[in-house]
Amino acid sequence: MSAYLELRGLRKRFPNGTVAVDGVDLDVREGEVVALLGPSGCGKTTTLRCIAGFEDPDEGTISLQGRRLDVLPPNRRAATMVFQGYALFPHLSVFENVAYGLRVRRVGGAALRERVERTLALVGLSGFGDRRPQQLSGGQQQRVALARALVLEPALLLFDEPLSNLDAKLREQLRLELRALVRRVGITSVYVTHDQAEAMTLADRIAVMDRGKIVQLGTPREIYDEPVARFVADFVGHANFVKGRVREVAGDAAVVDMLGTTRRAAASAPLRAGDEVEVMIRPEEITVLAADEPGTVPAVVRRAGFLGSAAVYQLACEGVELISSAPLERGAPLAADGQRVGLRIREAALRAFPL
Amino acid sequence: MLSTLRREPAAATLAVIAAAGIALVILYPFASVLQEAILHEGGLDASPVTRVIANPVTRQIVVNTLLMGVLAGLFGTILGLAFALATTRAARGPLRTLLHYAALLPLIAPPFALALSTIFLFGRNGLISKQLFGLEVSPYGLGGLLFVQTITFFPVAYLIFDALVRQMDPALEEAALNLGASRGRILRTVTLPLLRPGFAGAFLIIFVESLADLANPLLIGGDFNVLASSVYLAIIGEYDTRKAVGFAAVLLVPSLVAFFIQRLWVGEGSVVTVTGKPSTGRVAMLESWIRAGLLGVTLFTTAIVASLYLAVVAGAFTKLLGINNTLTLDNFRFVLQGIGTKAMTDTTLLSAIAAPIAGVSGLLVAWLVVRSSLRGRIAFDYLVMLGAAAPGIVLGLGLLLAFNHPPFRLTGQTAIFGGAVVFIIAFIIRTAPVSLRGNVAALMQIDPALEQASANLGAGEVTTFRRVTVPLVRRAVLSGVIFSFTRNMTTLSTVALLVTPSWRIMTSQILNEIDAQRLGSGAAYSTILIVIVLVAIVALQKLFGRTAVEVAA
Repeated sequence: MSAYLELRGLRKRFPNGTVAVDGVDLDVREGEVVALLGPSGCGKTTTLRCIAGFEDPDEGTISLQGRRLDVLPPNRRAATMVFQGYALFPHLSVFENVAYGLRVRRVGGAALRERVERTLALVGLSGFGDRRPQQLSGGQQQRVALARALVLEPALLLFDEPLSNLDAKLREQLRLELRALVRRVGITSVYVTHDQAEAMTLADRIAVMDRGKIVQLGTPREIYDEPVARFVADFVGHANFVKGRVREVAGDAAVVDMLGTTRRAAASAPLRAGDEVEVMIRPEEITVLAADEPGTVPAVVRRAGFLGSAAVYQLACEGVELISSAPLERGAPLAADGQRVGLRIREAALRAFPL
Repeated sequence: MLSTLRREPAAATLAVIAAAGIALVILYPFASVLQEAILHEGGLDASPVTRVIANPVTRQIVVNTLLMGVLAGLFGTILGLAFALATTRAARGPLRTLLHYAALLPLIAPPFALALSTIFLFGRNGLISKQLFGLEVSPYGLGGLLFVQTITFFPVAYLIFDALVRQMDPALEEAALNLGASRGRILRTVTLPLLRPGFAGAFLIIFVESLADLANPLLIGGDFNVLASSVYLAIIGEYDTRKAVGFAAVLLVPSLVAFFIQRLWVGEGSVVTVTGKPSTGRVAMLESWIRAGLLGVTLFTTAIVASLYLAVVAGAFTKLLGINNTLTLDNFRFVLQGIGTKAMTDTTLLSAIAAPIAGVSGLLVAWLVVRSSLRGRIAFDYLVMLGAAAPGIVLGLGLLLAFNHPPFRLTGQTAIFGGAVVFIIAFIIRTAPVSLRGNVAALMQIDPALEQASANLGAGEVTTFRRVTVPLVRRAVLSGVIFSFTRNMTTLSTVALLVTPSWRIMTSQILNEIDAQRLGSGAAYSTILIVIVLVAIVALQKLFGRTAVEVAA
């Protein structure tokens, strides 16, 4: 059985020689939200624009519901897009912006009014129809853009960093609103973002992209807990990387000599004894304890920071710099700069990447 | 091309139509001039051109032309800069407004008007020179010509510098002030260096306009002959086409070189400039002695501009201004009872037909250039710009040569519609480039995401163009149309060689009146033209608000 949306061997090279998309394969299931996550220039936006038809892929195919999409002109693809910066028509009212696609499809009269009003209500903008886009706040404009795409009941929704123009607080709030809305309408969506929190909140699955390729495709949990590559571990969340040497291999795990001690780490790839590896340690997996605590690794606090909800330590341990971040209970003392401490490193969360 | 045809069928179709149109009305006339210049009786013969260079008399005409262009360019640029600095750094409130409009007023003067009033005021019997100061001066020759051209063309420099000064970040001057520089020093070390792109642009544009000027050299040049007037006289006076073509070909070279240097070098910058942020008004005034100097120069110029305009009107309502100052309506009666009424309706009709075509073609070509992905689309831009780059008289000569014989016989009384079509073509190729520039600038300001959004919502190319693109650039289109209309009404050089008894053109009638020594009726014609143009511009102002005059200019 083929997937709902299917990208096969997608490749796009720009006239200046940049290979923006370098062989992307992606299956999206019906009703699923997949986020394309990666740094700028990783090819996520180009992939999305290939789906929308604004770029012609040099190679590869795109199919939606079993039908080839890439052979259709952009205005014949049932894949509506929420643009970065919204691209609301400044010369049309909010109502007419939402009605635009319906009018193109020759929907008129009561049916048009009813569908536009219903969609405006869905995004919480009832009564805003007569306004001009410029009279709305950024968050409201974002919702008009969403309504304009939703009203056509498309087979596929495309989001191009729709929240990137908003300030941090509003972004956080809209992220949750958007998730509720996307879940409610249940339209299959591809969501491009460079913000991992956005991807994790909104997506059922995340495709992490780097240099035109999908490095890992998985649920937010899988991406965070079991990154298959150092790039993914580094890009999603924060991570310490510590060099070590594999002492022995046991199934999916490796016993690694590191930080002057020995730890078990999940192996991201087949390893052999004697391999040089880098081990990922998430900052929240390092607990700072007293120096004499048994089972800890000795370290010195370089700098202690207080972030309100958490304590962040810059630590020196066996000549390696480590960051620890842990919730701090009210009144609990913060270790002082220069203090000798013991680190407890949770083994279950370690992952070894071959060098 | 094939994939373009599939993806952008409308753009591909439009490109074919545009290419055919450009080939017929722009390339063919130019080719006709070139052919006449270097081919004769089947063989290569560039003698019309070499003769102009070889003969000392005609060589002097070439030298005169370049001398006039360079000096007019220098004076116009300096005066324009003075006005820009005065309106932004030396004057505020009503004084600023006065200087601003004084600097725009010459833009709407029909050809002859300023030269005519210069003769009224500073001629052998001039109101000011002779009767006020008792001076025996003659305005005829290089001096008078430069005086009139400087007043006529400095507004172009003013608009360029004004836009540059406005988009300049006031923080730069504040930073210099904060570092201890005096205001005079800031002007010298910060402000003027930042205006540097404007100097080249203003100089080159005025140089090109000065070279193309036909009316002023004819009227006030005296014995100082230049190429544009020589082309005209060779046809009208001597019926010598090959001689005219020689002058035209020589004139074309510096005009095109200067025009395209300006476009490639400084032109694109000025597009950005016009869309720059408006001045925040925080800028500091200059030191008082610099202010005094600037205000002195600009107010004196304002007085000259005002008196020149008044003199045209006064000349229209008197027997012969300066000699017999009796008030009379005879001039208007003569004009309106003679062929003046026909000239008014003819010119207005032809201008009004050509204007929307020029405006819309400018938009369509701009859309091709900015939005389509056609290979070689930039060529459309340059070919259309040729219509503005070439001096009007050369263009007129090209149209005359191209369309006075089959397969496209459009000139002369016996042609279809009595030769009306060639006027409309002349008006369109002359003004479509301005509409093109305006629409290119407008389209570049529109986020392509808007048109992509429209396509994404299901609209085809044509629907997107109609429902998204056109509404967003309608100001640029409409101002292109109105600019075209006013320019059509006031142009002389392009149509001077094309007139027939079937169609009367007002500017050409003014030339006839002055030739016949009827300066009063020439002034009456000019007054009527000024009124028509002012009405058009005020209408534009009403429609689009305060920037309208700048747009029309």
